[in-house]
Amino acid sequence: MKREDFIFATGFLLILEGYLSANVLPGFLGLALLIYPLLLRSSTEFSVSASATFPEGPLEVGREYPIEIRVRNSGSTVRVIPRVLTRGMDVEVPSLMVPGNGEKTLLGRVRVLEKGEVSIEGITLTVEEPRGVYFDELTLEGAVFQAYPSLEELREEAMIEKNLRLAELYKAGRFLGLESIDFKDLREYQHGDDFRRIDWKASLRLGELIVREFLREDNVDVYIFLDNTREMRKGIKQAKIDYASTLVLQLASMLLDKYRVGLVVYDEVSAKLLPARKGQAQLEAIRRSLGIKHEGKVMSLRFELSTKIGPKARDFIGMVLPLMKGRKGSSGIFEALSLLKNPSFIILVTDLSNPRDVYRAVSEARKKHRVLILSPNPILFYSGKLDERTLERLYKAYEEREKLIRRFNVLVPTIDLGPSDYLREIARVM
Amino acid sequence: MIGVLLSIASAYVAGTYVGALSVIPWILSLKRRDVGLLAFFVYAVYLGNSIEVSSVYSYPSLLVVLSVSLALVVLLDDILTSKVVPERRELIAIPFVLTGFFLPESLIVGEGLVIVSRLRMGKIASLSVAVVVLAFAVLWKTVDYADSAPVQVAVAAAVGIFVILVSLSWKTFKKCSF
Repeated sequence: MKREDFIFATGFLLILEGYLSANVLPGFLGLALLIYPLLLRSSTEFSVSASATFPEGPLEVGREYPIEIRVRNSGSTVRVIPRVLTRGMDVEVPSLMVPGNGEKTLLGRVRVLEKGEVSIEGITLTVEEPRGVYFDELTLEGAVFQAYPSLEELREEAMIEKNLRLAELYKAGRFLGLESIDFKDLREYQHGDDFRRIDWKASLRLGELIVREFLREDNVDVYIFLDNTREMRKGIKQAKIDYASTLVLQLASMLLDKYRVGLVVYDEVSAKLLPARKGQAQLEAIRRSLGIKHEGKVMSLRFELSTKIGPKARDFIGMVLPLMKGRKGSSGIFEALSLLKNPSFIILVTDLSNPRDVYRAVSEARKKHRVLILSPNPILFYSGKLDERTLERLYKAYEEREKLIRRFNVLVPTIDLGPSDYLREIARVM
Repeated sequence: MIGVLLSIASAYVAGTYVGALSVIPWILSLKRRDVGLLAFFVYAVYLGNSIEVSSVYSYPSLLVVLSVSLALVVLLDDILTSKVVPERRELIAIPFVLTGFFLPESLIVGEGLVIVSRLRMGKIASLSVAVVVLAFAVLWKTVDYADSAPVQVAVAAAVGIFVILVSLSWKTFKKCSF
């Protein structure tokens, strides 16, 4: 319903009330309300012209640029509300009150979202009189820009590429198996090589970076560690454990051709070991060990590595809680690691929801074993209701998780996974 | 804000405290204009029912009708503008409004000053208001008799329809929705 129509309707209703109740006052109140829009129309005059100033030159993705809309008003006082139609850009221009016979400039900002050709397709200025009863519209022409990737975006892409290359190398089996101390060969440095392997003397002699290669023991055992803690089992439609189980099975079927593969499923307090073996029977045994049900609960989405509990408080909790009593803080993952007697290759599938324990355990494990972490990203698995608050929470959790993954990547290669990642893998294997 | 003060004063002049309720639509309009407008509708209907005026052709009744009607217009304007602080030029009306608690004519002058300071009376608007006054002046002898309230209201309705027709045919504006 239009606001003016509402005022007219109220006026007529009051007149009707006056007529039916034989009371003059409501009739005159109604008449006054009918006259009011006439006075409003008399006071309103839309005579606005505007011009926009856009950022010049090629733009950079992710950066913000100023945008100016100069408004000249030769009519009555108006509120100017800009609406900007864009492609590949995010524009924010606040609304502004422009007095009669005045001139004002709306200062906004443009943020480039994607590279290539982006544009401001048009600007519609809604010119509204201060009471919000009448309005007029004004359209300004837009502009086309060329956007180039920013340095930060390039860095991000390089990191993604590096992660992908690392994942490809793992898939090809180049990283599987432990290297012995027997020297094999020298070769040119390639992107992604460990800096510690650079042979500085040879590099100086040949004028380029040279790395040392060692003989690999291919008959090493591969153990897939599956995190079966409560957080992994939580999920409304799909839990991370469902995804992780499929991933484990798919990994095992791929690795069993070349290696002896074992499985360790651990939870908060204990761990179950399936010793490493070769062959199809082992795949079946792994499949049977993966019959884990998920819990229909919402994920907590907490990824803080540091704890706010002090050492004294932790000791106290250790004494009070029966679960922790006598265990000296060790959880399932520590027990799982203690089950491996020989140096092995560990593929740890965990959502890093208990990062403190995992970090400590991996720090210890990498002294003896080679470790790779495959981590299903809980944010990508969130299947609850999405509202403004949840989105804000998810964004914060996502940022927290990015930091966490970076910390773990310093320690061991850590690959972040989403719910659709394994489908691609399975398709390739088949 | 000044609309609330005028509503209280005009209702007081009419011998009721219902005007104090005008603060509710005004406060609601600060939160959301349309909610304030809905509350204003309820307030206006309740106010109309609270004060009894049988004829507009007696001086005390005319004072009541004019003061309450003009206060209602200012209140509606306050609700639509959703402004807390009155403009400086509106403050000229304050002494008149305060005196209006004892002298109703002063209140009407104050209300007139507020409306004139806010809304521009163009030729068409002035002419339409003049038609309203003229219509009631011309029909004075015809409609001023005992129990003529419905007839007087019918005249108001007729003039109202005329005003609406003038409004709609005069300027073509796009209208804002709720």
